[in-house]
Amino acid sequence: MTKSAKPLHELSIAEAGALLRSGVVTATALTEHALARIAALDPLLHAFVLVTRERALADAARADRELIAGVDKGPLHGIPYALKDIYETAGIRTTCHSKLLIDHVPQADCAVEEKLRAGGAVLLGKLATHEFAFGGPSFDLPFPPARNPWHLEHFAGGSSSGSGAAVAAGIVRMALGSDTGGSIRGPAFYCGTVGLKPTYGRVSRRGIFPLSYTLDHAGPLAWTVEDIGLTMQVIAGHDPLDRASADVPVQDYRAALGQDITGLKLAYPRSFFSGVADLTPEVLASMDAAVETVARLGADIDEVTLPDFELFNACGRVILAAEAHAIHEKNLKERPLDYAAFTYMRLAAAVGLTAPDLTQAFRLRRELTTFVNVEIFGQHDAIITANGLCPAPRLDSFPVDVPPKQTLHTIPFNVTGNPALAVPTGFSPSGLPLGMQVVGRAFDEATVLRIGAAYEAAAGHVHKRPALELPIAV
Amino acid sequence: MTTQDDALERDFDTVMGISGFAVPPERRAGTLMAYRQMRQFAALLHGPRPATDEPSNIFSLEPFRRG
Repeated sequence: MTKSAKPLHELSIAEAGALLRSGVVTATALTEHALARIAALDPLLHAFVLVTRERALADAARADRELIAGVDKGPLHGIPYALKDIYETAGIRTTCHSKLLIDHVPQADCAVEEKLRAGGAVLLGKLATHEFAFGGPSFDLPFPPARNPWHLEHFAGGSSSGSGAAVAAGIVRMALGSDTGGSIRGPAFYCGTVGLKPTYGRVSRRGIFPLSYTLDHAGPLAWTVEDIGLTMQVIAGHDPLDRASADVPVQDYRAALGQDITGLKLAYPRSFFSGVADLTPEVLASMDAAVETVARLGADIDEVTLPDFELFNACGRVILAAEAHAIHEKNLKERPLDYAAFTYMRLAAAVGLTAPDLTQAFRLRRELTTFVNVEIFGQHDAIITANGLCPAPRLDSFPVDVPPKQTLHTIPFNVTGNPALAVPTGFSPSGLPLGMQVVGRAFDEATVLRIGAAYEAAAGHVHKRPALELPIAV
Repeated sequence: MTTQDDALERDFDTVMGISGFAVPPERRAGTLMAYRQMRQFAALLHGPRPATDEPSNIFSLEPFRRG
């Protein structure tokens, strides 16, 4: 049954959900269409490392029977999605895109997958990542790196590379990623999707392979801000089995989306990124234009100064490297060549950090976090700032023998733990996506989504999709 | 190569050796570069900090209160 006015893959979660409940489309049709798009597009994109076709079709058929019987499990019921391959899935191989875990089949689902299954969503498969959510893009791994749907010779971002590519290509409406230094927001920026790094502790990380205990965040990428809100409604919440999970009530994200932003006070730390050497003029122009749009929508913009980005970056990179090294120390010594070169180089280098280095990083973290929460969020409802500093680079522009340079401005909000939403702001002259971050108070994802949705509706970039079309049978 | 680079490279070899890492030769240059960058990051952290910057946020008394 398929009578949608739009191609199925262009239906948002909200639109598909309404059509599922009115009987206009079925979960089986959505799933078969997505599987057909994987077959047609993924040989070019390399977004998936595993497709769970049979299980997806069985779960979709079950969702159809339940919906016909009047059983409604929530906004993701019958909606196909995919998981970054560091999310553990019972009985389904979870490799972390690494030779070290190439045969790893977990016994249990991670907490997020438990919630998605309980909500009747349909898992299509596991997505490409940088190895262990670090390193990359690497060509010396069991699977190739994902490619950017807007231009296949370009980087899809990382480490949630497959998540960004699969959403941008219209294979899934939503995919899960993880963000330790920008790994949700980076792929969202490069691939032109929305992506949310929720507040630290908002979404359980239980069963997600850790990169850095105090910086890791789990969250969604989607085509629209509304779909991020619908997903968060299902996956957010306290998990007593995740030591970092926060017992804080979950907001009504959908209710926040329709509200206008008149009178909201927004901080714009233009000097935080405008003088950085890697910043391209197109990103700066796009940021200024986005802020003007938000101001026209009624928000009060206040230019503010944040502490130097390099302090946030050094603080975050030292903590990340030390924690990641602790996790991988044994395998780095015993199986060095089973890691991709970039992963090994970055992980092993942390051996040069000292205990005082890490202690000083935690002290600085306290100082920076206090500044952001008191000085900025004491007077403002949100921050609007840059995400990536330049459009997606070509994959062949990366060095082969030394780890690539980072050109994202995302790690400050891993350091502070505030929620940060990546929102597309248009395109470079070469046709590659650009974007910004909307950052909020801790546990106030609703305001961040409200601002993102208002901007998205006003800007209209959401209507432009990658020109990737191949003949699709469905 | 400067004296500073020489010193850093000696430091790298010593630290790797003491820690039990046999860095594969084909990965030595990249690991050394990442090591240099890590030391540069660490150097930025050692500025004067007030006593209030105690990193106690990595512990929580909450479980003890509940118990």
